[in-house]
Amino acid sequence: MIKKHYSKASRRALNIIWNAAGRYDLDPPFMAFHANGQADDYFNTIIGLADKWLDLKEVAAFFASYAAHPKAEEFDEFLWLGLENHLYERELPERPALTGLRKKRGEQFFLVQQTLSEQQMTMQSMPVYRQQQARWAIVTGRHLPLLSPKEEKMAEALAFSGSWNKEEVLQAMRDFLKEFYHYDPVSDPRTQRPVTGFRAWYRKLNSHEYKQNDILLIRTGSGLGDPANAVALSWEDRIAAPQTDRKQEEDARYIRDVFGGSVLSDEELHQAESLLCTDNDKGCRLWITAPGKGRSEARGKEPAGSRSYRVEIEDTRRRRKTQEEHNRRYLKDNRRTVQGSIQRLSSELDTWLSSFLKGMPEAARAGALLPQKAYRIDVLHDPFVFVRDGEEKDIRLRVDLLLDASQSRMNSQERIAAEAYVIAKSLEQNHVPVRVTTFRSLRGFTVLEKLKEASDRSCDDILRYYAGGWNRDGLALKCMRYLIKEDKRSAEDLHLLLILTDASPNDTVAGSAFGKNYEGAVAVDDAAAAVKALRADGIRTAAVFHGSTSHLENVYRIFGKEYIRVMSFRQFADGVIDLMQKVMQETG
Amino acid sequence: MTDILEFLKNEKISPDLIRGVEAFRKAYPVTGGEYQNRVPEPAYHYLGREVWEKALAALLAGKNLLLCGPKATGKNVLADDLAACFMRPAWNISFHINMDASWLIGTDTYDGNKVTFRPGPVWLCAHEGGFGVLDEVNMARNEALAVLHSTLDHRRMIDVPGYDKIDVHPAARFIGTMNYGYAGTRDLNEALSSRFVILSMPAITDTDLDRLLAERFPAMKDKIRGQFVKLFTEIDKKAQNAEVSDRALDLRGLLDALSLMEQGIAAGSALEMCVVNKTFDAYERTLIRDVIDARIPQDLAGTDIFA
Repeated sequence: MIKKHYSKASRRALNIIWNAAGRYDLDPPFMAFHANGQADDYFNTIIGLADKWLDLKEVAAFFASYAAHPKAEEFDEFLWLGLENHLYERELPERPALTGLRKKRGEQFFLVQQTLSEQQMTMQSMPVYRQQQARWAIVTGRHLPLLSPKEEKMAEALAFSGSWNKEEVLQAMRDFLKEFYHYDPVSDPRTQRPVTGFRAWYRKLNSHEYKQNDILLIRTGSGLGDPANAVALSWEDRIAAPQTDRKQEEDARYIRDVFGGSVLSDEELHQAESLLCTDNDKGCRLWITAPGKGRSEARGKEPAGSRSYRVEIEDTRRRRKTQEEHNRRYLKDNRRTVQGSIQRLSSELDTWLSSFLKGMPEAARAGALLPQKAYRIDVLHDPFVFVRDGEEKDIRLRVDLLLDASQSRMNSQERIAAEAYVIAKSLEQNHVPVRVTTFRSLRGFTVLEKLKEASDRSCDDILRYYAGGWNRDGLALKCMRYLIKEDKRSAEDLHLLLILTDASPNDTVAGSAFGKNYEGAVAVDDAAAAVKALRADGIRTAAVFHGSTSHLENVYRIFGKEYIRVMSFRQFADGVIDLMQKVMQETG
Repeated sequence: MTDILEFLKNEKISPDLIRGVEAFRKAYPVTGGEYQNRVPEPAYHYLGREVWEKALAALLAGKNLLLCGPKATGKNVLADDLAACFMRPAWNISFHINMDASWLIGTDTYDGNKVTFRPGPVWLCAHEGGFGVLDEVNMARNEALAVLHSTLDHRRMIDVPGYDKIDVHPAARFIGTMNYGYAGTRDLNEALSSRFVILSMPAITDTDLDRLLAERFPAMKDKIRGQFVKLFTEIDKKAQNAEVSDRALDLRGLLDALSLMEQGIAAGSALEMCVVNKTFDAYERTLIRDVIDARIPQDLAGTDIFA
């Protein structure tokens, strides 16, 4: 089930509505925003109050009843002015601060009007504008604009009294439309017809202030940066095309030239492949490498082959270098946020890890007396004959960080590198060994690149992260399981595997015995099975998700509840610590 | 401050319980000495008749009490009130992750001549018949707390290896407080929790909060007081619905803000300092500010609030 996700501004609008309504289970049909996209605190309060004092569903039904009318937008704005007056007067005794908020909203109205261009002014509905002007002039104590007799009557009719009940308010709304527009939604045949097609689109496009939830969803979708995360192969298009007709040897040479030699010998690789490249991954190959640590390190060496091939390899290497520089620059430009996140995550981890880790005993002046050392007091005047729990910790937790390095991450490379850096650095500061590995698939090879080994204290190499290729999540996860089991020192070790992912696996090599493409449900189920196997082995597995909303269902299917969605870098540290606590406690 | 027993009578606490407390005081008088200054003198009292009655009954029956509840439910206020009510010296022991048995009971040390025992707060409390307030008891590791088992159960004794065994003074009681939600807390194990009578602390009601504010700030105008009560309720609701963390749900913070307003600071600034800034996330601060703005005008001055 996909949960609704809102942008920050929408979430804020919702919070204001809920607060005014006094309940948090409300799914409001309206939300109010300023033209700059910020939540309108006063009108959202009014929407919340509409739920508190009236029946918001009935109000919404009334608005929907004339949705097919060409002037529906204009009607909305008039009627909300009427409701505003009613709800303000009704709530005021309970919430005197509303006067201040209302006045502020009025001032904002005039401020915005001053900045509108002539063109924008002409796009406004003049009758609505006149009524708004009159309302906010009264509220802010300005001179009333000169109104025609009809406009004066309209303003009077829109001053819905706070003493009315729900029926009277709805009747006043109906009367207003009848009197000034000779329109009765009840008798309009168009109300029976749903608003669709161009008209619906036009209405959405032209809505100024009150936006229905469907618009919100559109706003939310784009606000999450979907275009930035869209899968769009670019510089590796050529090498990412289906590879089945290429000679395996040629492919292996290409992979070696691009990524460097494997850390496993040919025999070890063969063994791993025969173990892991089965079922859905039949025919796939593996390549496990570590920058600067391969057995037959090829990086830096002149690649052999035709001139165009050499140029291609050199070009790829140069691009990787450039991306590394971008990552470093991003880290430098955001050093305050990064340092803040490391500090926050480190201190939270420190508190939390203490519950898992035992203090090593150390000699002290006070504590439990060590009888065998007691003689030292008299003979050597050494008071350190006691033991107490020391600061040194017996580390039993190990963390693996797996980064999706496929092309779909192209627009988030710097951020992913920075996030991985923050996690790794925070864990290192708490003496927790952490290994950082990237994965991608290319020419049938699933390549795991170890950017940081658990034994390395420095996290600098994480900034070598770059995106390119496809992602066969299932095989990469199977491979991680294999590596973790190989490395596991004792059965008591706690192992956590954190994956930074967009939960959108796809690869050019087919994904099942029936030849279905490795994408969509096939790929997601394959990844989910790999996660299940990891968990069955006691490896706690969780995801940090920053993909598009359309992939939320995927991340849930693959990782269950053990994931967080990180919307901004600032919330990253909190999110990660919550996730780690959740995973370590719940699945423990 | 009036005697707390007067307060209990005004709260309409069962007379039998009040008589029980009086009898306890008579049986175990504090006769002065070095621990006299440990008897708390609370600045304000816990409000809530039902909770008071349950707590008094448990302590009179010789039980230890565990106060469980979320933030801002008055756990520590009640613990202090209870020690004051029974007129016993109190030891406040703040639990933390590195807490161990020696920290609680005592430890060996060298006094220049010989190895001696330096008693810890639990030992002192048990010896002197005090009230031990085990604050945030679930912050410590369960294995560190195992040492309390014999102190808290029917054995009522502490056996210090290498030294003597002491019996827990009949007037001694232990009151634990715990909050499940705080970072770094964990569940109390069954062995320890079974040694306490567990009292679940309800959130303060609007009426009680109104009374509390009236008691603390007698000069505050009634109408404005109501707005602050509603403000607290609204933040509470927001925290309960997980829209914000409970950092900003801070009754102490609200009281502090009102104290600042009494000193002449505008409401907006005072609430910013004492409530909004309790949370460190910028977005969360915006949400809290929205709630405040919808209740309390930014520029509300002390003279508007206090008569």
